[in-house]
Amino acid sequence: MSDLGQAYTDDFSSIKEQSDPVPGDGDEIFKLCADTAPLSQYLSKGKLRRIDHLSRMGLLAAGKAIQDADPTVFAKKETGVIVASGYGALSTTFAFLDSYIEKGDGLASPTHFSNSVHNAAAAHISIGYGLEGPSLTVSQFDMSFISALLSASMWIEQRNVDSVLIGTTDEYCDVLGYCIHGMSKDKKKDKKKYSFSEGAAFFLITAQKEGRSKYGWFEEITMGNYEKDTLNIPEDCDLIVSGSSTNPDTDDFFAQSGLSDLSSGKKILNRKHCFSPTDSSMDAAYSVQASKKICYIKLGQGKEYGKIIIHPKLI
Amino acid sequence: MELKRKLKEMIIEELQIEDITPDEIDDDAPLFGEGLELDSLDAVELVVQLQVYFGVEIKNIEEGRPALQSINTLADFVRERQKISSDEGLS
Repeated sequence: MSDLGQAYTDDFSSIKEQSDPVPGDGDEIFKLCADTAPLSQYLSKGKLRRIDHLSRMGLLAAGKAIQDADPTVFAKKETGVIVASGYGALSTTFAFLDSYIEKGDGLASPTHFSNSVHNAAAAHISIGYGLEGPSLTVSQFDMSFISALLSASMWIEQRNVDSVLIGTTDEYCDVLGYCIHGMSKDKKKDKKKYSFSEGAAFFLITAQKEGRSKYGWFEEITMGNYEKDTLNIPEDCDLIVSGSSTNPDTDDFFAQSGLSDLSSGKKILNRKHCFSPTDSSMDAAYSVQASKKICYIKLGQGKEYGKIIIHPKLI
Repeated sequence: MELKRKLKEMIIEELQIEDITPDEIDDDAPLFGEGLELDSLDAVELVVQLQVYFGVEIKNIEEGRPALQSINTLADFVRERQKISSDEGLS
């Protein structure tokens, strides 16, 4: 059980809805994009040089989490970093591949390459904020955040570190928007429901006792297959079920789990769309503001799921 | 456009240096360590971009170390290599 010591950005003004025309198509792609200009409050321009948008989003959310953390429990020497990203640095990766195709392997950009590796964001966060614990990157599509949480809780239980700065970052890029748009057309869904977005959310988690937690704590973190497992949803929880990025439809999950038959006064939020493969971290940040425990289930590829029970401090 | 100005614009653009104009870069100032405070990754990027922008290749550290000292040494290197290429083309 881990203290859920802040994170999430409270600066929603940095998120803007935008739309792009689809090439060769009269439609528009709706997207929510992040402005990382406030990052200059945390790191100098010199330190941010060459750092790409994906890492900047992570740095901004991580900076906010550190700023909000209780200084009596947060020691940089004993803090590990875990960054989860479903797709990694898409824009930089495509830019690197473009330069490779256009100019050949000898003239592809080394800077693009260095930022295209999945662990670049975690490295920038560890170096930028001087965090000396281990630095790990987890990429497991929709299960990335849940998997990262499991690793963080193990680090803390094994006393490898005192605290873990854990979060997610995923970005929008034109190629991804084009693919998502294609998915939405194929399924004849409301295209705006398939709006893709980008963003980052970070938490500082520790092994503190519940009473000292600033925002709340994770009571349970599990992963599994909902076709094979029996899903136990505690009576005192509301339920959020979020679709996956590859198949946002949640109907199969509800049909197989039987959860739609619940009639215990439990609120169920059935979110049949996905903002990003790691939107579960933003949902978790939102959940600490709830007035009831939240059982959050994120669906992934096939029948996989991740389940987090979040206990907000306020209740 | 003058070669030194082209080099400065290339450095600002490709090395993502903010808040500086080509006019503010001293032709004799060190590119690495002090001055622009470039680092080893910048050096690799510079080698690639010199080839992209000017078609000149730095093949090893013996060539690179003197060439990458300042804008002046870089410009001298580019001129020399372009002249050699031009002469070879004529012969």
